[in-house]
Amino acid sequence: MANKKSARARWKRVSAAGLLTLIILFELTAFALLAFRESTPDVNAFILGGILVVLLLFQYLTLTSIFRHLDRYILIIANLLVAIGLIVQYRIDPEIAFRQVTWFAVGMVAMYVCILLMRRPNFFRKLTLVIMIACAGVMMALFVLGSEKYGATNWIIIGDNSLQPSELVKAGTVFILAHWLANAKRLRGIWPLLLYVVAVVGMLVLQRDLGAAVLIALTALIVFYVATGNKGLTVLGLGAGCAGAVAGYFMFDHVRVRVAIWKNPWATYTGSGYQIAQGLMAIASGGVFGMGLTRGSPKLIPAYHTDYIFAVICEEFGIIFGVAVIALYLALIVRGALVALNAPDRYTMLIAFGCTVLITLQSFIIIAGVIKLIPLTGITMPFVSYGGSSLLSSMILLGILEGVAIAGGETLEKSLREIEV
Amino acid sequence: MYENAYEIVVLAMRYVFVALILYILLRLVLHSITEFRAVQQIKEQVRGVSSGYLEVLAPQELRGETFVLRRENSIGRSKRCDIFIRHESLALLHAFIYEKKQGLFLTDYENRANVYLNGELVKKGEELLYTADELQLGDVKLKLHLNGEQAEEADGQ
Repeated sequence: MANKKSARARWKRVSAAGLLTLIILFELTAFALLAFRESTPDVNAFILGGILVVLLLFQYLTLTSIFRHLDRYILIIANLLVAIGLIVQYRIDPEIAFRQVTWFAVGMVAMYVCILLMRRPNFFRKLTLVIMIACAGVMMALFVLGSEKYGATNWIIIGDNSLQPSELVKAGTVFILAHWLANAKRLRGIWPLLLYVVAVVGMLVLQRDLGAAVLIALTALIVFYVATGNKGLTVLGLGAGCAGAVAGYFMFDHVRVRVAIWKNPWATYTGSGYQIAQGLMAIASGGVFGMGLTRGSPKLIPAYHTDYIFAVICEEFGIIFGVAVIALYLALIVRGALVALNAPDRYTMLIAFGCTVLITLQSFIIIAGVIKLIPLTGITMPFVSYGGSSLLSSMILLGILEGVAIAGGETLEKSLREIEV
Repeated sequence: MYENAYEIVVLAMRYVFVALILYILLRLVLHSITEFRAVQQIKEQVRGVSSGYLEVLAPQELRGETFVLRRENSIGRSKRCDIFIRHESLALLHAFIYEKKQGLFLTDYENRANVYLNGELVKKGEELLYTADELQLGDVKLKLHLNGEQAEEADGQ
């Protein structure tokens, strides 16, 4: 045997500490710039920047030292997106940035918990039925408990806080999809899954949460195709989705309004088209390099810190920066797909793939909506937008993805040890 | 005065931010490729390690015997087969089990019409195998165990 080194020594994971340093550099310069907005320095900007640095370092160091096979790049991408989101939120309103950083800390705890739970994927597999009933139950409860906000009745308001439970339903759906599609050769057996997806999408449409409905329907279809490779049924599903969309167009007034705005936002500039028109103008006024941090006027766009945050990023940082943000999501797809390919078994492979599809599809639906590529549907931009439930669910998906990455790496290392003599 | 100076700094910083994010992106992609190559290499080394084993369920006299699977396995009564099972109901060369990118496949040799997968006859072509699948060759019943995979508990649970 020529190669006598141990598996551990032979397989060194590439460190991403350099990338993390760059992110911290980026984040600190941005917060320094924000701190000197007025002639008296703003101490809060330094405090927030400091909190973020501590959180990022703590997260990176603990995770990489405990789990050797952590996918560092997915973590880095998510952290960069969160940092960009916090900078823009602080620039708009320091108070919401402080609330968001609290949610980031909560999300990190959730991520740790998910990574630990994914050490035993069968734990989730046994709970599939419970998850399914819980998700469907939450969706139904919304009809009674839900309050309307931004045109959709998908909020539960407790005191001063409002929650969007459909965000958590998304994460649950990934497990449900993976469970029923893992042994996909018996297609007759997947009717509970079909029933679940149709029911949840139907309820989301009735609650006017079109973004989430499109997201869950498309995710289910993509994961189905990946799991079975069945072209006929996938095209059929796509056809059914299109038919549903057309039916929705004729049945619901708000869908027609959305499409009309998309066709020509300027016609209703003073009314319903105002948001898209303002967003487009913001992106255009930013130009290639942007107007400069603090030099734009983001508050002219409705929902500037949640759904429309991409327009604000483009306005102040420029289109190149905006394209780079899209490229970050693309990199996330590639890394997620690699995690899925290296997953130890089909069940976790489908989970990893489902998480990846969910995160990236969501970002593309909202970005495409903001740049008027498709009709706008209200949905948050993962990791970047302000919103507790949204950030929490994104961090949960990230944790699950990392859990699969770690399991995949450990399985490979185990086989590597087996061939050592 | 202060405002003018600040504005100049802000305008200059735009380029710094753009350069920084593009650099991060570039580094990310390059690192990611390096990492991908390393993992591919490891996977290359690990290839050929057994994907699982077959366990005999019936007939009684062979029950409990196990056969470790390699990348390509011929199964039959002949001693030349990778997996040879002494049972007169088997042909000299009966079936093949082999690895492809998508997973482990089973195929009948010369369509002797007595290879069953989970009770269904394997006709022309190949069948993708899953863990806990039951194979029947002649009168010999085998159960497949794949490494790393865990069987689904009680169907549809």
